[in-house]
Amino acid sequence: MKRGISNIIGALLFIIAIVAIISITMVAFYQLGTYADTIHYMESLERDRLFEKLIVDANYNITEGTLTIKITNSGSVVIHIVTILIHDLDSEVLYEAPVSERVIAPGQSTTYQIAIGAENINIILVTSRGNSYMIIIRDGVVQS
Amino acid sequence: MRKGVSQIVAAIILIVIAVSALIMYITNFVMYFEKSRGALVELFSQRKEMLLERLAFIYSYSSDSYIDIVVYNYGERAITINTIIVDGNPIDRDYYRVVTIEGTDLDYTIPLDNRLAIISITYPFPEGLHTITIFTELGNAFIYEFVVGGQV
Repeated sequence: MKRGISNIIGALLFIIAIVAIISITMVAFYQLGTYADTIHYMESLERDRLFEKLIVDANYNITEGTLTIKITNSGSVVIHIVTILIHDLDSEVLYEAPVSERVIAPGQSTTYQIAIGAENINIILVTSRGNSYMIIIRDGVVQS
Repeated sequence: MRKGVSQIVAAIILIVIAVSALIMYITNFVMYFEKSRGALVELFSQRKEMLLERLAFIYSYSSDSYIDIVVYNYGERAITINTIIVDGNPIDRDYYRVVTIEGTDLDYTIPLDNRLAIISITYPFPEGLHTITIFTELGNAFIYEFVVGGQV
């Protein structure tokens, strides 16, 4: 009788131990899997960030106060322009140009027209992957 | 007769002791197992959250007493700034702010719905190279170097 009970207790302990070990192993593998997915995702984000390449051609008409920016995506990934910042150095004001976000496919171009009434400005294009491109205008002339 | 009863009582006592010990053992084991599992999940999820934080330095303008750094959060998590160190000196929270381009205070956090922000630091910047290290609440460090006297 006692022998039977000790067998049952032993079996119970064994089952509990096995369930615990399997559970902890499964949890570890699941967490490791999601962690590896995150690493892979962020690596691909950084790789795409490196591959972003823009050719920016700017023309400033000082009499009309209009800046025309032609942006060509010369890289291999789709580029998303999220904002254009304008830093007016004369009045020391930084603001976002009232333009919409645009997506440029590789090999494609887009043109922005922005009304600016200043002669000394820095214009910064910002992409969704955190890259930025600056256009410098001094005395109404776009610097190369 | 008494001998028989005492054997049954002894067996019951033994069973009670064994079952009690088993319950104590199982309880401790489950607690230990839950603790280990929690620590494991915490460790991985914290490392994952750290990986999802990304901050790009976009532009800056400065004088000899302040610097405004335009940053862009291109990661997958909101970034909360914990500490800023300029040239090795920790800056008190009263001397820096995180604001939107329009100037609205963001309470030291760059959220995902307003990824573009300005970190404005009041600090005496003599001419030369300076290093700003931004530590986030999750423990990431973003380093920005600039030279006073021109835009970086």
